[in-house]
Amino acid sequence: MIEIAKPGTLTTIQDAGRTGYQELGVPESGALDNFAFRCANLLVGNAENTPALESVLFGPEIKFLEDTFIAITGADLGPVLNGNKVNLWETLEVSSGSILTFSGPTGNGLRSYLALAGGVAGAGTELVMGSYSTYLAGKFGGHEGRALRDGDVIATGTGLEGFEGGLSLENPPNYDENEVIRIIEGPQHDRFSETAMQTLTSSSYQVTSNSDRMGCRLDGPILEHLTGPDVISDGNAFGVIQVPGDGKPIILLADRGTTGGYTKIATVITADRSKLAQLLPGSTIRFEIVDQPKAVEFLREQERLLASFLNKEGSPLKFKVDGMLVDVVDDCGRLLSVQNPETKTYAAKVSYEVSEHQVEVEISE
Amino acid sequence: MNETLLNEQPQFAAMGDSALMVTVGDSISYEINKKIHDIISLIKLADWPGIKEIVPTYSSFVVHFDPIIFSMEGLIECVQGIWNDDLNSENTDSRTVLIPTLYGSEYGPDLESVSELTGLSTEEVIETHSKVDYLVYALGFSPGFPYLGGLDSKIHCPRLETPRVSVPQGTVAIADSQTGVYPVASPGGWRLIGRTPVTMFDPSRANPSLVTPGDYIRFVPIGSDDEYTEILEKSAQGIFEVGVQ
Repeated sequence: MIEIAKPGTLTTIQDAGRTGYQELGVPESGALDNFAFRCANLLVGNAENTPALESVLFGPEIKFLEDTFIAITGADLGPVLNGNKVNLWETLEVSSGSILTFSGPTGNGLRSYLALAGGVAGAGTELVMGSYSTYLAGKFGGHEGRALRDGDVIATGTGLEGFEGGLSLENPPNYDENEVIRIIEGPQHDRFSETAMQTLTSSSYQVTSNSDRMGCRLDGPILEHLTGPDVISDGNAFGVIQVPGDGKPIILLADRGTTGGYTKIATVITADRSKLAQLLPGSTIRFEIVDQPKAVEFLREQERLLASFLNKEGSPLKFKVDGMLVDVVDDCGRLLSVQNPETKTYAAKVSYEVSEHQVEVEISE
Repeated sequence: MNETLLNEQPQFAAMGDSALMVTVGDSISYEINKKIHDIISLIKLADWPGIKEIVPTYSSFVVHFDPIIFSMEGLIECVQGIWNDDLNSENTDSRTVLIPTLYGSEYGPDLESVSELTGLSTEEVIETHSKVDYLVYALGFSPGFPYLGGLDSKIHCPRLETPRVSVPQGTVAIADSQTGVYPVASPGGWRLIGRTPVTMFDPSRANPSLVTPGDYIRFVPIGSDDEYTEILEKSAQGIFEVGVQ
């Protein structure tokens, strides 16, 4: 259990978000910086989609009511444990009675993630539509559907048995104040004047203080529509750059409305969502167009980075295809490995796009 | 039914690297929306790997997927491949959800003004509104808010000049060619003609929304305050079951 002594600017419980309910008008929600969130969990021996705390700008003050492992990732909001500065992106051992505070933002990012061994869940923190994420506007998810307050006591789960800590992420991300955000054109770039895309990719845009979990509002050169800003209300995605009538772009984030009626000039690539989550108000960004295969390659790189400090031990799973050994990856592209294999041969169903194959998997020594 | 506006072939537009927007037509029409729901049913039946969710709206839908498992080109090819497939009849039967509604009085304070604006008696307004099965084109605006099409032009009315600060949960309202139900209390500028005692949206239910895209809604007039209160109490206990046809 932990006790929230002070909530900071805004501290909410988030996981990877709600999937499958956008057709009912329910936003995805979830940790804005998915990479930092997952990393924090992995550092304390949790499954990567375990509910954790997301804090913005000025972090909370938290009292730990039992011995546990924690990890702080994402923005450097100046974490201090029992009066001593502590590192981000590594497992920290915490004893009962310890107090975590944050000295304030350091210019390196906006949102910080705190994972605890076993995660946060229990009375008042229940699964809603398959997710623990807080959706503030809908008043559901997280802890009683709201941001954490002083005095809240939050239950924590049981951590991984035998976990010894000592993990860290090499070369963790730094959040630049002059970030380059990579985009793919569309889906409605043809609804803008010829110069609009040129303007978007050659200008600097400033992140306004009017930004929140729904969207990142930008100030800068105006993007001109061809025939007005409205389309028949349609769907959107995390990272879509929509442009209302005033010509100022808004990048949609996790709590965005599920449908909208403004034209969408471009979409931020999945691998750069974390950068969006960490943009401080007042910082300046530029946009750079990349193509589809590049965007997917950047995403794979990010997944490999997460995998790199997890699968240090164990034998990599390989399968034989026409006599050649091939790596086995899971749904997220991470290399699979097996600890202390007893069985040497496995049967598996493998799918590549729409074709499915029955294969045998062998553990190589 | 505006047949000419239904695209013969879908238009595909990448929305970043892990979402695909598929546009089926360029207007709000029953036929276009029906095609969207049919294609989505086919995609769900096909059960392709890496598909996370599909979000329908009036004339397009968005497929969210994992590009590490399923490539954008592969997805476009597959959607194209099933475009002209027929759905089995068992998959095309749509549901009509019956929503008990108490029209007028404090539940529908604008029923009188609608009557004045349309030149119909309040009874005629109620009859006109409750005889149609409304297609749920999409849900959006707020969790569980249904965008309904098919309002009889006899009762089209402009929005209020000054929106209300708060419209109670369950309020049935009309504006221009639209009608809808407010699933939770929220501000609103539509004309309020009635209220349903059933809980349209509840995050804690296994099926949070009573209706999903592609369903139909029919508003069934409630005879008395007593009946309204009885349904309201049962709904609060989670034991009222709406009629489905």
